[in-house]
Amino acid sequence: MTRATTFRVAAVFSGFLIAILMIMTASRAVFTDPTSNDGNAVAAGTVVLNNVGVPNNTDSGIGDGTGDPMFDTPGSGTYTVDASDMAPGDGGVVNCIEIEYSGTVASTIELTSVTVGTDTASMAAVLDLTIDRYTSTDCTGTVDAAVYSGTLAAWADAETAWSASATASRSYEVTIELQSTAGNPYQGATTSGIDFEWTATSS
Amino acid sequence: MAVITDRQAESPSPATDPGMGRVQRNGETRFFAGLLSIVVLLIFGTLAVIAVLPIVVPGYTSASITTGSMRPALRPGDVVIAVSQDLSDIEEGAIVVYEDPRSHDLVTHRLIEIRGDGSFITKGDMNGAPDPVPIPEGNLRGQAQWIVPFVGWPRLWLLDGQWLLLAVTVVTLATALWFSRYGLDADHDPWSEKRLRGTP
Repeated sequence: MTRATTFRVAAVFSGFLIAILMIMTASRAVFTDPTSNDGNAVAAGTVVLNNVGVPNNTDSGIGDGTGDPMFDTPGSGTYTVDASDMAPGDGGVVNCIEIEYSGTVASTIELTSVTVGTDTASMAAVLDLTIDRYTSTDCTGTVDAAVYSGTLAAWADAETAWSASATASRSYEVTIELQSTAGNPYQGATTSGIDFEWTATSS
Repeated sequence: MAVITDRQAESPSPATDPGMGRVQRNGETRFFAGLLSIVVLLIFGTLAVIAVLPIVVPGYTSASITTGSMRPALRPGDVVIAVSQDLSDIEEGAIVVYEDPRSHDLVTHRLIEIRGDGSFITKGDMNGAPDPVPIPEGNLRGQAQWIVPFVGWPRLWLLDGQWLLLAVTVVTLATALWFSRYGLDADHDPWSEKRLRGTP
């Protein structure tokens, strides 16, 4: 075997070997922590109803239907908004989520809870949360109902529920802004594991 | 009419070329660049073939991950290969691939509960709540067995309209393909008799 051929065989062998080694067994993944949600998130939205995203609007909206966070440090989901470097009074981060009811019995649907996981420096008290509901699927048109306006820490259900007896949807525009009066104590603070939960109740 | 082909231009003429040593070094660099290209192509090629093989192999399903709902176990761009299995043979906590009864898309989520009626409940690891609708057993495609990384990226980029990333990938692979001949072609073997003939 010539010297070049030896190198060629080694190259072919290592190419296949590297590829095979890159394939992991899924069983290993079973043992990873199912609730892990990495540190720097400002908000991770989850839904109980079908979350179908915002068609034709790639700048806002959750587009996947399986619950990517609305806000996160970069990289989580296609339509996740980067909320990693918020500054006081910078206008905050905005995202739109479509909530679809696809049941068959008459139900009322509303945003029932917003809970905070980890809150360093009690930043939730100076994060302004504004949620508006629209009858459109992409947060355009006139506001159907003001769902909430206040701090994240003080969240309370004030929404007038909407009803549906067949497939129907509403979109919710969620804005999170660091108050302009928030001072230096909040530098580098993170609020993570923020869960938005919508509930459909048969009526 | 003298047509100077690529190969003729590259073949050094030792008798008249005083810089033979330099040429030979270039030959080695080219040869190893060619081998590196072959390694890169084989990695991509092997992963891609393994990812699409389940399409033609009965009992296997491949599903590309497009969302972060199963982070950190599965990342967007991964391709999951599932082996067809009866629901009763799957333990709760396993990652399963199934057809969503509403959207008819393939979904890869964790099986969290098998119900008495033969349906099962799933949940994305990143999601705060289980998926809203129980999945009938007939929609189960299998249990996730292997995770093939990266090969789903081009599809994601295509869906997202990330043309630049797609173009960079295509150009990189095309370049690797073009360079790979330096690693295979006998004319570019830096140690062959033909190459070394005439060296001091």
